[in-house]
Amino acid sequence: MKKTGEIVIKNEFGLHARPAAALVSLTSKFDSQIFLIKDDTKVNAKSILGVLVLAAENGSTVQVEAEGEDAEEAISQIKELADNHFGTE
Amino acid sequence: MTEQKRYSGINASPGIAIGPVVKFTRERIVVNKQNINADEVDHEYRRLNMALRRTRRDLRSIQEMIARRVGDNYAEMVEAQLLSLNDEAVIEEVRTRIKDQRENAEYAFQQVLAGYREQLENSDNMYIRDRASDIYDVKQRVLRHLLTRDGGLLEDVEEPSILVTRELNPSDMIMRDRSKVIGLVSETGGRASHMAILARAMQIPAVVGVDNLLDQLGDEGSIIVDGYHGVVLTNPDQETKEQFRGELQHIREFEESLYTHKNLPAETKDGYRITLSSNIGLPGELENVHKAGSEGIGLYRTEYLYLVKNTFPTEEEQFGEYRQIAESVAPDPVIFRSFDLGGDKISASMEIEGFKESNPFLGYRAIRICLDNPELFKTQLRAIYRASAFGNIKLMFPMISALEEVMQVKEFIREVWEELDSQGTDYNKDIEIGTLIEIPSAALIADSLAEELDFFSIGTNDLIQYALAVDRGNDRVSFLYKNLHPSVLKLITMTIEAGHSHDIWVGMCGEMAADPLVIPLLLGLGLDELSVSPIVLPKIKEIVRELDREKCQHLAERVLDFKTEADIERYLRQFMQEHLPEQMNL
Repeated sequence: MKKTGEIVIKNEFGLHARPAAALVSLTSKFDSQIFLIKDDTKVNAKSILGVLVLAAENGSTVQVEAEGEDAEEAISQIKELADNHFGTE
Repeated sequence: MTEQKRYSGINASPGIAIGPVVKFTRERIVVNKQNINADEVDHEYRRLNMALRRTRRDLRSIQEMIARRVGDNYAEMVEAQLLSLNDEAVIEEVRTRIKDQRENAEYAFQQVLAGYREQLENSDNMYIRDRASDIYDVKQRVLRHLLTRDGGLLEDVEEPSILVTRELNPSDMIMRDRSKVIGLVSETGGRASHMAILARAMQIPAVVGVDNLLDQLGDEGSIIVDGYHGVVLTNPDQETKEQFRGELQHIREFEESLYTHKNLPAETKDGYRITLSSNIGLPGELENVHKAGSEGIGLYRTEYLYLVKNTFPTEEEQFGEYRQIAESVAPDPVIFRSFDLGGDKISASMEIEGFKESNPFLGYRAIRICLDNPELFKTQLRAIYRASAFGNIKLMFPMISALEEVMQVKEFIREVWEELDSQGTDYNKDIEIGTLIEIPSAALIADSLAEELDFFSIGTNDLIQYALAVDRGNDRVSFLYKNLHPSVLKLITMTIEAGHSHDIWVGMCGEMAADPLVIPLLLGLGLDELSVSPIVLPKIKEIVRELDREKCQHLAERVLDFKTEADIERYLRQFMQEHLPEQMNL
């Protein structure tokens, strides 16, 4: 099962170390493969270095792609986390 | 037998240490590619896992130590590093290289991490760029474990030693058991460098900015670090060692004796009481504040959170730290000084490319940066006001030079009140607001400033530098930097008189307040508060308790008539000889 969604980064300094850490902690709980896509870059959402390399700024839109049994739940929780500033602000 | 040699640097943290040298050089490990055989792949996997596991263990212990010694906020510095060690995608890439390209584990790991590091370094986001050095650090740590190198890691220090380094990262320094590092020397850095700040917080004697020391160190038996005077002695002869050991012993005994009156007030013999408080900048220093018998914190340097982490702290991070500090010293007060940053530091964070000041001390600094960046400033004000619900908080501002700036600051404060009110947040609107008096213009208009404020705190280091137009760090003119210059005393006197005529209290938080020779004069001039490093606080209290206010007032009257610094100093020495001869010997 493949699902897609979209999040908007609302953190003042973008998806930097702490929000990225919060995201990776969340995605790692799911069995699905999860990817983030921004511009031409696609990274593994369970990889802290991958997420950092994405360097998503405040206000940018990031596509989320999940494939697996819990894909839908994963996307909905990732959206919620992004809306809550990744729990850091 | 090599000759004794003397090196001077900057006294970054007071104290004396004598001991063997450990040279800490951050050697850059670069490994070469080695081709492995198919039957060695599993072996390489195991080596990789082992190195990752050991590095995780190292980083966790560093993290715990940072949390305990410095503060919880600072432990997060290590979090991203730990996560990158658990990064399955990265580990999988390394394993693939080992298996498919038949590369040795260290080479494969080095190449994969170097790729990420390069991408982070090229990021447009400065917060992400900063993480590149963390990744480099992780890479080096793992490589060291893979190569089972022993040199270059502080964990390996066996006996109490003095670390000599080119530069030291906070994570390097804090991982060490306090008892193993008795002194620190670095070739780079100033008093505001990470290392200096942390050394003071941990009460480790330190000298920084000692040029080219590492190259000249041979197989020294031991060296001496004099953190009071900023001096390092290599190959000390027997006589010198004895002399410093004696001094060390003397200082220890004296300090122990001082802590016995830690619960007594800072009160003169004739019953005049002043507030004696501490200057600190890290939660880890709270222990020193309590141990010293300090009456709260007279200067909390909020910019340390920024300097140590190297990024602007969020409102929550600031609030957490301010609340912790306020709760810890309550009911005694803590005075938070808003960010006192120099233009050089801020420009890096704000990505103002090519921003360089030819005269930074007269440039974009302190309150000027805050007023120019309302969001940054209001974030800090919000955090401080939110914390005001949890203790006795006061707020002061650095580098105020005109009344307009005070009015602007108060306007920002009103805006913050409105925001907090609309959110229904609990805070104390009535906290005292004051300013540092550290620019001569502020002292000269202290009368009008006093009408708008609740207190003054005289910052002598800058006040003297600006009044006398002398850079203390410039060897050619530093002899002109004079604490006791009659003009400096006039500015101090004006400030105190202006404050008292408007019924506000006046304190001092510069280095002058920690100079035993000057204490009688400061009491005589009528200062209400002295704020000093917790390390020297017990000594200052001892002096205050042996003085007589009336005699100090006579002294002050006489001193204000003198026309030269030399006359003033001579008179103060005479006074000390007469009234506190035993203090003169220290």
